[in-house]
Amino acid sequence: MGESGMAVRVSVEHPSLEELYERHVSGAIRLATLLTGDPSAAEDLAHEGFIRSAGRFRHLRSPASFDAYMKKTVVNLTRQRARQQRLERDVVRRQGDREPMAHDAYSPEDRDVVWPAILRLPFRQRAAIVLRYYEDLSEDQTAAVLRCTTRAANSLVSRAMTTLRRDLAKEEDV
Amino acid sequence: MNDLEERIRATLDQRATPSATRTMPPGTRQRIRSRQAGAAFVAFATAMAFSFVVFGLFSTPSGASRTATGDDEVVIVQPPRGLDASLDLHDVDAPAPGEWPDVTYGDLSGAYVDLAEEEAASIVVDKSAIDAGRVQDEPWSLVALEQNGNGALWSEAAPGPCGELYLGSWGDDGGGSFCLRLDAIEASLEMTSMGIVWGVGPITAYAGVATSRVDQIELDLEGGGSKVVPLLDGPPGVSARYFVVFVPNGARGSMLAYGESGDVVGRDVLCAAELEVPADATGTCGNGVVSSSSPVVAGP
Repeated sequence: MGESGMAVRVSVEHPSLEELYERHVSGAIRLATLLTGDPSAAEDLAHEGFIRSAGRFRHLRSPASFDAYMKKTVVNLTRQRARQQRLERDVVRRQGDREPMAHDAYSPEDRDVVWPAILRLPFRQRAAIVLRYYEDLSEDQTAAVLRCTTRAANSLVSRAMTTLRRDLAKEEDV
Repeated sequence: MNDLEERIRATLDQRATPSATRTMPPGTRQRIRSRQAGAAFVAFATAMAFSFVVFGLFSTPSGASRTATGDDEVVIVQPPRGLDASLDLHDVDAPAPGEWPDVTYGDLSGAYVDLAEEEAASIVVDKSAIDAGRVQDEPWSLVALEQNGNGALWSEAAPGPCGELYLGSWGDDGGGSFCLRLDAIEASLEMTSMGIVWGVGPITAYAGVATSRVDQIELDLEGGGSKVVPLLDGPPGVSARYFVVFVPNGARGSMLAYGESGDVVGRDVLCAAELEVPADATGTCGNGVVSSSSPVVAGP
C-alpha cells in the first residue's frame, strides 16, 4: 500500500513476439555483420538467433535479459558458421583448389586497413573486440557472452590488440 | 582511450551500417513453435530412453565377471553405454592430443545442480555440488546425492549414493550420472566409475563414487604414469566418497581402488577411449553398475 492508502500495482511488461523482433533483430544484424563481415549472412544469423532465443523466452527469469541472451546466441551461431567455413576451406585446400578468400566482404579498393585486420583475427578475439568496442559491454558481460572467465576475455582482447597493432604497423609501413 | 582503440571503435561504428527496423517475417512464429515442440519431444524421448536403459540394466542379468587380485576379489562389470545428442553447439577448446586438460577445482560458486521434479520422490539426500571448477575454461560441476530407489527414474534396485558430472554453466554441454549400487549384483562393489566424453571439445573425464572402505583411487595409464585421484567426502548423510579426474583424450589404462590395507579392492578399465562421440553429443560408459548419459539442456 502506498502512503495515500491506494494500492500500488506493478505490472511486468511482456512484449509481443513482433515487438520483441523489432526491438532486437536490427541490433543482432549489426553484431553479426561485424562478426562475419558478411551483411547477407548476418541477416540469416540474426533471424535464426531470434528464433532460438524467442523459443526460450518464457524460461528466462528476467525478460530484460533477453538482449544478452540473444547476443550470446548470435555469437554462438556465428562461431558455428565460422567453424563450418573453416572445415569447408580445409576440404577445398586438400582438393588442391585455390583457397577461397577468408573474407571478401570488403571491397578491394577499400583503403581502411583496420577493418580487414579485424576480420583476419581468430573468431574469439574478433568477437571480444566487437563486444567490447562496439557493443560497449563490460569485461564481465563480454566474458558471459563468450562463456569464459573475465580473465580469459581480457586476454582475448589483449591478444587481439597486440595482433592489430602489429598488423597495422606493418600495413602502414608499406 | 588510446589511438588504436579509437580507430577500432570508429571502424566498427562505420561498418555496422544502421539497418531499418525489421518487421517479423511471416512464418517466424510457426518456426518458433515447431522448435519448441521439437525440443519438448527430444526431452521426452531422452527421458524415455533413459528409463529404458535403467530398466534394461536391472531387468537383465548383468555382465558382471570376477577376477582375482591376490586375496581380493575384484568385480568388473561390462560397461553399459549411452549417447545423448545435444541440441546446440558451442566451442570448447580441446586439450592438445595426449596432453592433460587445464583444470581448476574447488570453486563451488558457479556450480550447476540439475534439479528434476520427477526425481524428488526417489532422493533421500538432496543433490548438492561437492566440487566444481573449469576444464579448458568451461565450467564443470560434480554433484552428490543419495536415493532410496522409490522414484520413477531410478530403479528400486539401486538405492544408495549417486553422483552426476556436468559440463557447462547450466549443464548445457551434457553430463552423466552414476551410482554405487551395493545390492544389485552378487558381490559388492567398492567403486563405481563413469567415463564420459563431451563431443564439444572433446573433453574426457572419469567420475565416480567409492565406499568408505576405499582409501585411495589411482589412475594407471598405459605406457606408464600414474596419478592419485583425490577422494572427496559426500555431503552430510551420504556415507561415500567421490572423485573426478579429467584425462587426455583417448587415454587408456585403468582406475584402481585401494583399501586401507593397501590391497586393490576395485579396478575399472578406462572405457571412454572406446567412445566415438560426435561434436554435438555426450557419450558415457560405465565400468560400474549404473552409468548413463543424462538429459542435455540446450544452451544458446
